[in-house]
Amino acid sequence: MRTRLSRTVFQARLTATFASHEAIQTTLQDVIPDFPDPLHNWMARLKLLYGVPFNYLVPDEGMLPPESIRFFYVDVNWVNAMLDGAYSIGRDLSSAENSADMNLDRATLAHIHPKINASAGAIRAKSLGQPGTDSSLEVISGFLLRSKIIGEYPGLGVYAYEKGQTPTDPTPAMMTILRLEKLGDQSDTLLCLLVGDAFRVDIHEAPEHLHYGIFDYTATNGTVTAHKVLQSFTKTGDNVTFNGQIKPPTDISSCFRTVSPRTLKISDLATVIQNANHLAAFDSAEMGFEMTEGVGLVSFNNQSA
Amino acid sequence: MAGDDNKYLLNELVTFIQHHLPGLDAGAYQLSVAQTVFDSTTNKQVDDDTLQNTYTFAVQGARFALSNPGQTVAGFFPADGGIGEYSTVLPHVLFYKKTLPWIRYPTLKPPFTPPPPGQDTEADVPTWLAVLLLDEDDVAQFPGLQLKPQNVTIGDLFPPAAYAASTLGTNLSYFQGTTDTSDLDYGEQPTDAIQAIDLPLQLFWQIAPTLADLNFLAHARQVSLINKPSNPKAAPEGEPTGDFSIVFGNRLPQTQKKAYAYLVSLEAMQNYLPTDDGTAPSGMQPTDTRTIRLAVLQNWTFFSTGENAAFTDQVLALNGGSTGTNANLRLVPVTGSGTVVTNALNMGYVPLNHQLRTGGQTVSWYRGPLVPYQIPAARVTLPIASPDAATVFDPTTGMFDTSYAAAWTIGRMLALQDSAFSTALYNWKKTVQAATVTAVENALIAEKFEDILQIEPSTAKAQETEMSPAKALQIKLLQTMLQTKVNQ
Repeated sequence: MRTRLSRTVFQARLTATFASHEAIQTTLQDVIPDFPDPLHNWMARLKLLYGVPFNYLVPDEGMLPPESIRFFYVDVNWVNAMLDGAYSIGRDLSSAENSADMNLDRATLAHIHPKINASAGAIRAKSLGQPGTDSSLEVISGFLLRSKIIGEYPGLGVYAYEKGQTPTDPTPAMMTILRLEKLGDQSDTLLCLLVGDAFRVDIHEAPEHLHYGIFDYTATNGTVTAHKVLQSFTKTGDNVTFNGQIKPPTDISSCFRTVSPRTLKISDLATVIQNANHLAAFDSAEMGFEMTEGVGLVSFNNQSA
Repeated sequence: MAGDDNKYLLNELVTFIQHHLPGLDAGAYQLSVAQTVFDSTTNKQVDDDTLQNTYTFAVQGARFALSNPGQTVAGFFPADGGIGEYSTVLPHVLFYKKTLPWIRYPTLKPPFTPPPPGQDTEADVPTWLAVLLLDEDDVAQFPGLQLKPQNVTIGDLFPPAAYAASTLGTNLSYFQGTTDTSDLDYGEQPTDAIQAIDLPLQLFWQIAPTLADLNFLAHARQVSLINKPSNPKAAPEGEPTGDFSIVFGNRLPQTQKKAYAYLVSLEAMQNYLPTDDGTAPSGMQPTDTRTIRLAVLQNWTFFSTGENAAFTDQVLALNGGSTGTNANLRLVPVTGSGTVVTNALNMGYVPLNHQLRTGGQTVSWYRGPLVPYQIPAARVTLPIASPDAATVFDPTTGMFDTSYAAAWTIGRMLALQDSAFSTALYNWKKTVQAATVTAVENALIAEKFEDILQIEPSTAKAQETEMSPAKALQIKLLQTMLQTKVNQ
């Protein structure tokens, strides 16, 4: 018996398949070539708005004046439209809704988008050696901060919480940061993207940049009156237990040089701090801890939520 | 802030570390390797020749200038040009390099016994770096003092006896008493340009730290980077914590005066450093009128106003302080705007000029990806055939909403700009298309020749789990043909 297979049958079957994205999906089910890493990494960066001109993000300067912080949600539709624009390479623009090109792209959407999301959730995490978020990234919120503090406090930290998970709630949990960076080396604008709906955002000074300071200082005719607020702590090996502030602030007036009343006698100061804390030994690490002033932290709460 | 708040936030780990000592101090090293072979039975040397080799290498470290300040200095406090309330703070410099404050010593000999390899020492190690602070009052007291660092060469740090072209004269610097320039490290030339400042000894003694002070003026900090802006310089890729070192000044800034801060090297300055109360050290004349030349590695200025401008004050002043009403990313409508405009602006839209394809001009709404309220994901259906397909027309106002069209277009343009991406994407799409065609063909073959192949199209894959369907079919075909041949 002979069975003959004509080319028209094959072509008809091809046309039928490419006419509907479901048919393509069914056909490709097990044999779809993997969406290569460089491609979904590239699209993941685009999803996090890397490389998008700033005036596309903020079309009018009035939306983000100097010295301002502006909170926002990311419009998933906008981002998806942009991702589709990037994905449209090789697609015929004049073609109709149901062309073969369109259907092929439509069929692969479900394959590429989870990969792009996973990749986007891992960009920042990877650079910090952390596992990426498993969120589907349906809700992304964040803020733009434009201020001279961006330049003055380069390492400022951000804590963000969703409603019901703030530190005043029983089970606090910090939100995952997708992107947190200055928009350029000399830029005064910081962009932060967060997984989920931010309810409270805390902005605080960088711990590594905490400065040395004293409580008060006055000098009249060369006579110095100065105080320092000290923290009491006890050391067991490398572990430090805090016992709260030593009150009232310790008098350090004697720790200034007579010939130059604004210059501190650092070793004398070290002795004063050591005695106030009843410590047997005192080194630069403990000095660093005592001399730093507390972390300045400001909370922003969403009033409308 | 509530008490439990503080407790939770303290979970952020900051570790204060006494010091990070470098594995090898800067300088030239010589490594000698020798091998002698003995006969195991006679215990005599096999050959008179001892195999040996010598290698020289140098460890370079910053000395009179920072070779790459951008990669080394993480920041100044107060910031360069900063204006604020700094009258009770000590200026500091923060470094990305965790060993920098201890790669050299202010003493003439190493100030501690080196610990055995792999171990650390608990001993205090003085730093060779110091932050000195000057202002106009010091110039008034010491006429001739120049606040701006001078451009000199390394040779100018030597007495003329060692380097004839030196401008040092009888004044002091790092290489007092030397007669040649052999104290320079590998790679340093007397002609290398550096910055330096000449301080009258009297002033230097007043404001410079003592040797004992230097034990406390530097330490290292290890912090978590999880909640900080990305900064490739803070830690190697993949590290969740960053190491920093920090060097402090010992003088408070003066209110309402411009303060000049300098990061200077005090290497081997042991004999010139003042006493605890800022007077001449023993062995020096208290009335010495000479100056001391110090290499300036960094310098910056700031201004202490006496008004509050701490971090929290600046953050609280954002959005116009407590009077500010808008914290959303949108334009604030002017009073008197129409309802349509007010609503659109509140929704984050901006009216922009729109050049129509037909040549006409109109005004259309545009809104970026960052919007003031949560928008459900179902507004656009992908894929979008063309930008026009994503343009929204509002019949009530007769205006277009071009947001998604603009998004689609910028996405396409960014993709086209990156030829590596666009080529790879196009190639991948071609392979997907080819895979579809092959799969259709295979399905067709499996259907039509089912009886010859004697396989169920649906079970073909299950039977040959190791192979792709196409390959399974080819092999099955081959087997069938062979069988046919045998039967004939």
